[in-house]
Amino acid sequence: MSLPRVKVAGFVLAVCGTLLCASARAQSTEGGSVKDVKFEQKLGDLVPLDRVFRDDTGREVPLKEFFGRRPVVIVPVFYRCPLLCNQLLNGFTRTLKPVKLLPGKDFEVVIFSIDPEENPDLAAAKKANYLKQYGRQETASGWHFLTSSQDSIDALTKAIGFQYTFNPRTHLFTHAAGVVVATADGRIARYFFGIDFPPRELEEEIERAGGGKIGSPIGRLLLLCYDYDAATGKYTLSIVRILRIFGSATAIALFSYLAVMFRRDSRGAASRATALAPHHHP
Amino acid sequence: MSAVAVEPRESVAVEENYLSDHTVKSWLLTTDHKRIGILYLISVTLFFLVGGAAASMMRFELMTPKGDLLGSPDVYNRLFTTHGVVMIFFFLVPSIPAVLGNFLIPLMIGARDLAFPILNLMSWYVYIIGGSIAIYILMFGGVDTGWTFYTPFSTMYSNTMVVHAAIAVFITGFSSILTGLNFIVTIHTMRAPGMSWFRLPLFVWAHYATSLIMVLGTPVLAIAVALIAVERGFGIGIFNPNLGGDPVLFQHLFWFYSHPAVYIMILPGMGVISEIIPCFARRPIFGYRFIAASSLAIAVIGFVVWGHHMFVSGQSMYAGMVFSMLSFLVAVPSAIKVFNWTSTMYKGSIRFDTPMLYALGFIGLFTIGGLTGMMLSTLAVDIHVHDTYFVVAHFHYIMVGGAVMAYLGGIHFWWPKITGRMYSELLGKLSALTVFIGFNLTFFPQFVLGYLGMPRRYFEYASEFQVLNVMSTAGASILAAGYALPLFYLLLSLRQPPTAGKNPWGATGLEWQVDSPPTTHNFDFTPRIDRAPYAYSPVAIEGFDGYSDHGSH
Repeated sequence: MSLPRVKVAGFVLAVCGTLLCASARAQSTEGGSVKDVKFEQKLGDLVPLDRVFRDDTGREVPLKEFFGRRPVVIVPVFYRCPLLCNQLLNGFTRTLKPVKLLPGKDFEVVIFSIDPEENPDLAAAKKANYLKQYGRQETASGWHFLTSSQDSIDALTKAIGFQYTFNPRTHLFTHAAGVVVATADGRIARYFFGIDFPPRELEEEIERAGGGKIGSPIGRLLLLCYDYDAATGKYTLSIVRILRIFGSATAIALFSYLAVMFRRDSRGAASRATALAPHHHP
Repeated sequence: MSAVAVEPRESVAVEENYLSDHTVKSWLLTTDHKRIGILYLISVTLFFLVGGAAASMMRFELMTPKGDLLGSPDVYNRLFTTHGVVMIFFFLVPSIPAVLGNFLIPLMIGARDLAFPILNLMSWYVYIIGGSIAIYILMFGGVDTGWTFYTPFSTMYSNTMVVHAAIAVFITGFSSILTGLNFIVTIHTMRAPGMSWFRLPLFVWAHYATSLIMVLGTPVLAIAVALIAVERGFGIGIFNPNLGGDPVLFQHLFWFYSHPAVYIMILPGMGVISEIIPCFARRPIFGYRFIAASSLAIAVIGFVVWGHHMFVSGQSMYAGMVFSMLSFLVAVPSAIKVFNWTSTMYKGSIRFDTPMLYALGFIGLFTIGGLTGMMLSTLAVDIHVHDTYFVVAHFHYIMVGGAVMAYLGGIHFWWPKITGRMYSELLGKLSALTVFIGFNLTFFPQFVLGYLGMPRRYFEYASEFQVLNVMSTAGASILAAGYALPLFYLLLSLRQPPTAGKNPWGATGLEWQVDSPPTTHNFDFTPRIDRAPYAYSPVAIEGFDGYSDHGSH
């Protein structure tokens, strides 16, 4: 119970914080209202693997280069961001520290900027900074700090349901905070909202995404009966969904029986009508 | 119908009928639908006495504003829970279908028995097992959640026998599922030649609609109470928000059954009234097809109005509006029935025998119950009177003024058929009048109390409510006397020889063409039906031997 509260509170705090840094005066008109800022869950959707991004060395690579072998954690930010993105990346790095799985070996980290004006130099500086915080320099190959054109940014943010607004006066973005876990084949498996994440769950989710469960039809079928439970932060048996399934099955069974019986009735009535001459009532 | 015997038989005592075998074993192992009906009659009567006793104690407690008779609110809570659980699950739901429906449906459609006689007996045993658990709970602690078992109270806070009660309700639910299944299959497959759908008595139509609700709705109730037991017993989070559950989910599940359950109670009653009114008005029923279709309409619409119990539960305003509109809609088929019954009586030769008095009482009381239901399905009004005595009065007008009046009317109507005996008509009329007066005196003041703001389910109240509460308690005493009377004179009638004859009321139904009491196999030959039901005319039909014995109006 306490866990999700913290999460929700963190999320709310994060949105408010960004709004503040995006200047309160501008928010209503030019900045767009907070209504346009959303992080919508698009579980099972595919990320645009063919879109080209620049890595921190300036090399242009399609997104699929980071996928294919291992699950990927995607983090949308912008590097000039004065408050929220730093909080997010700090929280994310802190979460990864106790996690046994390693970037580059067990999964990939794709952090990308939503600002098309940002360049690989800025990205490289950020990478150096967070690698230092993380404390495992050998994992550098698993951290990707990307920048790109507006088109690619739009495609990726749309795919992961990340909606933000730009305030031209302050030159800052208003956005939500969270990370997205995707499977190796590029399907979105799970969202973690806020700026601080439970390490054990993130680890479990990366492992699960590594198994490609979301992609398999059996997993999908199983998921029919499971719901993401905001209170426990887990996928749990959805009583409502199961009741719906069984309830519908009962109704279908009953009405099929009735349909069959009524058909038999109307046929029987037809045959009786011909067979039954006017009968004297005894 | 010309073959109906005119003379009461002298030699009935030696004639074999379904009551002839007197051994206990023959009763406990019977698969005869008529005997199972009698088993149910005895069982539901016992439960009615238990539920009635609980109600009487509550009414005595409410004579004074202070809680002085029962000593503690806990006792009072257990009493109203007992009253609700016993009256609804063990009396009202099985009453008309399991007693009269079991007895009459095969006779009315020209069949020898129900489609699954053993299943029928099983349903009674299932009912008795559930009922025994209920009695056990009553004797060893009780439950204090109210019959609605609302979470989180029932799963987290109540220290009473909630799991036992859930098991009792769960088990009893299967009894009505089995009965419903049996009726559906019977009505589809066992009708005599010529008994087409639109020649069926409306009693059968009503039971068909009721059975659909039983089969579709009761499993949901079973699941809801089972989930309570699971959450209480194993700590699995279903309704408890601390465990990731949703308490409002319980209300949805509960009312998804329990609102249609109101129609399980009232639809068979409407079936009874549709039989009684044409017989005692000597007129064919007005708008047969509309009445038949309205039963089905009630069954269907009744499934989509449950949210009107939850206007203040935090469901969305939009949902509230939709449920409010649908609740208004469900009044239409009920009104169709009431208008058709009254139209049937128009220009009829009305006789006020006991069953007819009960039926007329039903129409009046059900109308009041239905119209106050319209007030309650109005969102704003409901917020004012929610959880007050207004609601209590409303549903008692439906369930007691409606369903119980119809049940008693049916018992009086078919008593000669069931037992072969007539009862004292004078006492019968007296009972109908006493019940009607006592009922109104009990429950009408509760409308006023509720409107003035007295909440339900409290054993103390503000002293300005005392006068109306004393009226209500006085009415309850009269009502109790009204209910005790039939118990007395109906049992007394069993001491006489069975001389009622086949058709004391001059009724047209197929069940009136067989002996009273019927033989074990119902019909000596398979009847063939060649006419519509309710072919009444103002002139007494041939073979009619009942009227001359009874006083005229």
